Amino acid sequence: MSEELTFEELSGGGNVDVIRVHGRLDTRMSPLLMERCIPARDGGRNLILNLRAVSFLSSSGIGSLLVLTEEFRERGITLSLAETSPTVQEAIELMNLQTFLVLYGTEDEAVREQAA
Amino acid sequence: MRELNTTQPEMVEKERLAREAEIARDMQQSLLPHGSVAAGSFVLVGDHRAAAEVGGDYYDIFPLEDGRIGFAIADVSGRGLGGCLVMSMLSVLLRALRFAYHTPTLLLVALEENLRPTLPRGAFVMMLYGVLDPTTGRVTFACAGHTPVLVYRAASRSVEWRYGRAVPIGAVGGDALARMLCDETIDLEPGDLMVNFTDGYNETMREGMGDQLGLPRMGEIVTRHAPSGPRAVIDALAAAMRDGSQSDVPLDDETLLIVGYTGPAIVLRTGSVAGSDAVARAETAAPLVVLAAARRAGAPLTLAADLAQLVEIRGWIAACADLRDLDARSARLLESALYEVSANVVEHGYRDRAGATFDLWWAPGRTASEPPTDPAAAARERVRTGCFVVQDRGVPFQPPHQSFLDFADPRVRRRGRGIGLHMVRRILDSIHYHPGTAEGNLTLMVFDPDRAGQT
Repeated sequence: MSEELTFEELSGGGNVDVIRVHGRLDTRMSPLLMERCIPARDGGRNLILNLRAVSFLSSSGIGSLLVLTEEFRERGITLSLAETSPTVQEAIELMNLQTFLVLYGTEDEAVREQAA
Repeated sequence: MRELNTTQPEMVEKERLAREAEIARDMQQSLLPHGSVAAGSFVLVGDHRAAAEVGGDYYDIFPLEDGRIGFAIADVSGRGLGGCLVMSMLSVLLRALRFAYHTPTLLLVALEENLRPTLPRGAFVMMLYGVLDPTTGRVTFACAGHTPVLVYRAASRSVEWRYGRAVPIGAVGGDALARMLCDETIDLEPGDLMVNFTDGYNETMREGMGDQLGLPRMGEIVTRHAPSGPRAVIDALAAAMRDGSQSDVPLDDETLLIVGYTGPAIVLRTGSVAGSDAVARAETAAPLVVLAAARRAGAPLTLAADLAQLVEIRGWIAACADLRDLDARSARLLESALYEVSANVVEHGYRDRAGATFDLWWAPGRTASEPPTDPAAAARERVRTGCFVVQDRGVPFQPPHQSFLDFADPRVRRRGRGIGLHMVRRILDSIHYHPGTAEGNLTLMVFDPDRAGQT
């Protein structure tokens, strides 16, 4: 997996956007993720982050996911995480964040539910 | 032929002088202690940089009765072999008399009485002698014509100067020294430093700069670097002396002796495994002892103070013989913990110091006599018995008061910060932070893969 952070942006159809995240979501790169999520947040669209190709998740990355989740929630929309990689899943479980994040096993499942 | 005859004696004389200088330099070095001395929460660190023409600088650190530590710094007038012989006598006398006199003043007066008959005409010794009581943090000292003492106060991030009023040893006849000398005290608090130095630091014209470093500038340098510990102060002052110079050899001897109150370790997480050798070592051993063990037998990784460099931690774990067989989850958790500690050093310790580096060490522990045959199980056994050390010379970290974050509180989630420490506390079994040791800030960590994530 790449050490840099890259994004693949897709439309999930309807009011749903999808961003596939690749690489390290660390202290240096987390601000880039925040930036990429702003258009969906400000446009009032649900957003799904596919984290299957995230090779590292630092505390800053976790902080970004928590902040974005709260910001989307405050606007009446949802930020979802799908297909979390082992490192992402371990970080979430390590800090018992499952109840505070919206998690889906697959991107398709997330799109179906969020578009409904 | 005539020319040869006239230059030969000069060459012989030149060689004799060179040989004499070499003997003097060897003699001077043999009298100086090596390394630092730790006493409870205190550390005493000396440093001596010899000039090309050997001067008469000297310092010593030694134990006294009741756990107290004696220390001395002196500048003998005169250079070359003569100055070294006086220094040698001073060293022997000081060590012989240290138990016989109970105050620094009495000891310095006794030194003068014993030295005076043998001092060459016009020779004298500028000297400070002090006694540290590690149980109270009080330094009692007397100053015979020595340069002023610089005291760094961590609480106010400011310096104080303490000037002695007595004459140097042997400078004035009669009982002038005994009449003028008196004991003074300095009470050190956590983070404080008592910086003693010879005049090679403050009075020598700096080569290439055309000025003296001077006391105000020394105070500024100490204030800036004291939070990183005595060794950082020594390095910064030495660098300031060399600033602009093409040579590493000082024009005059430069000697420093620093007494530092490093304070107790900050316990970020107490080990939960009762009886674990590694946890016991990290919790009770002097941090410098653990660092020394890491240097002897461990695996180092030097990292630039740049977040982009921290990707190297993964490769380092994979390449380290003791760690490379860890299962994927254990390796990922270990990388996360070491990354968070390192990122904290880069972001908060070194934020204004581009080009700085710091070190990450793996220090192996005692290996089992019959290690598991499964490579992954053997690696887990090894990692839980060893210790990780991060050594940095940045601004010490100020840990927050709260122990764990409560993510049920929406304000905590909305803030999204301060999660790193929470994360390493969840992963590591024990974390002890020693700010401002003689070797900089040291973070000692124990990782037990089977207990990671358990509260």
